[in-house]
Amino acid sequence: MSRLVVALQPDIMATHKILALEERVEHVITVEFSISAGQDVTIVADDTSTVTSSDIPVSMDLELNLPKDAQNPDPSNMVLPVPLLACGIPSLDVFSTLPDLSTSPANLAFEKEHWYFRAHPSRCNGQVVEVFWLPPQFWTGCQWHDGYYRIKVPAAIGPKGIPVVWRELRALPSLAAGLVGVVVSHSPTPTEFRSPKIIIGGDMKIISSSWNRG
Amino acid sequence: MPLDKVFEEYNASNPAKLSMHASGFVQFSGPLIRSGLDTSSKAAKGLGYWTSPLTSPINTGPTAGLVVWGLEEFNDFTKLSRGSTLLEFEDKDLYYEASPEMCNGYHVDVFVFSKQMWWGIYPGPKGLTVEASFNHNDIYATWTMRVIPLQSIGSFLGVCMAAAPAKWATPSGYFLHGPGVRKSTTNHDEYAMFACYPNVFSRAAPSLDKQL
Repeated sequence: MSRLVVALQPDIMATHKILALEERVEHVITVEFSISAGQDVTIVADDTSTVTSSDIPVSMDLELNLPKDAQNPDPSNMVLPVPLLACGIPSLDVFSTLPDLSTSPANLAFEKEHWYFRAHPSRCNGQVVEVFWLPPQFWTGCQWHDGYYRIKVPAAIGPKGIPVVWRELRALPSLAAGLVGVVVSHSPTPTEFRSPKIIIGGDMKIISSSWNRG
Repeated sequence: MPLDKVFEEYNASNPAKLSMHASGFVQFSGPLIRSGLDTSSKAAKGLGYWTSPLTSPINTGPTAGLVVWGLEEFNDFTKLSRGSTLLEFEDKDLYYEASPEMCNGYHVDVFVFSKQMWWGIYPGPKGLTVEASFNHNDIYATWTMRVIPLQSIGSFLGVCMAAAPAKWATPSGYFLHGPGVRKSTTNHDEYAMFACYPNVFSRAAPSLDKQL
């Protein structure tokens, strides 16, 4: 069974380490990011197959576009959450061998049947791992499920707030009494994001960061 | 729909299906049913009208639906017709439109979603699935729906099924309805078309059957 594992660093209050791996070919990418007290985000992308890393400091606004009233989710009053970080994986075949995950006590494993789609499956040629930070009021929508919390957030919203389609994040406690939530999707454009983006894979390693809400 | 509001009525003795074109033209059709558009006037030859195209679908509710009761009197399913998709629903997949003891039939709702809504689709245990919320009588209910992709246009269908009370006093029958359409931007009256069996009307009506 194919799966992606998102492993969070032991100090999950400050630093999150994402390991995206595919068991069949035993390849892995590592994306690590940390959030400082000043709310700047530092992203370190490390393709462990080449033992190359780049430090990409990204200063970004942590104001989150989330439902304005989590207690009363009126869809007409709802906007899409924006990921804190999105990691595109055009090809899982270029990554290094499976690392030892035993030092990562908090793993979020996403079996393939839990990967969402961003388009018809025939059009998808990669995956995207999205990481959201959810403020403390979102605990009210969380349920514990065998090692992690799960919470549903809007995936897309129609005109005038109708309809709303949802997807389930897998989440763990994070800094500032909030949560860090993760979701994995098949994507036809794994190299295009609207968040600080990290693209790893293909013919060359591409590490870039930008903040593009469009 | 109140039966006294029906203003155009046809009979048909041949099987008719509700068909919706990507352009938004919706009609009852079939091999032996008068259908299609008149080439010069662009008017429906049979029973049909224009509604939202499938690329920008109705987003306030279902585009089509079926209420059926007395399933034991219907023919058994034997063969999937070409190009069709089979969706199977078990009791645990059903929603309820009334308390279970009042439900003697089933209600299938078919929603059309634009391609932007793909982001919520996941591979559920019985196939592609989406969870969607609509304003249903001012209650924002969320349904888990089975998905049928409309691959050529990027949109998709969401289908869910409920146990429902069928209030008509016949042992079996169905009520198949198409999308509602507002008469004009200034007039809030809406119209829709539906097919029902058995015929609940006593008055004579013209036939939709092709004259062979």
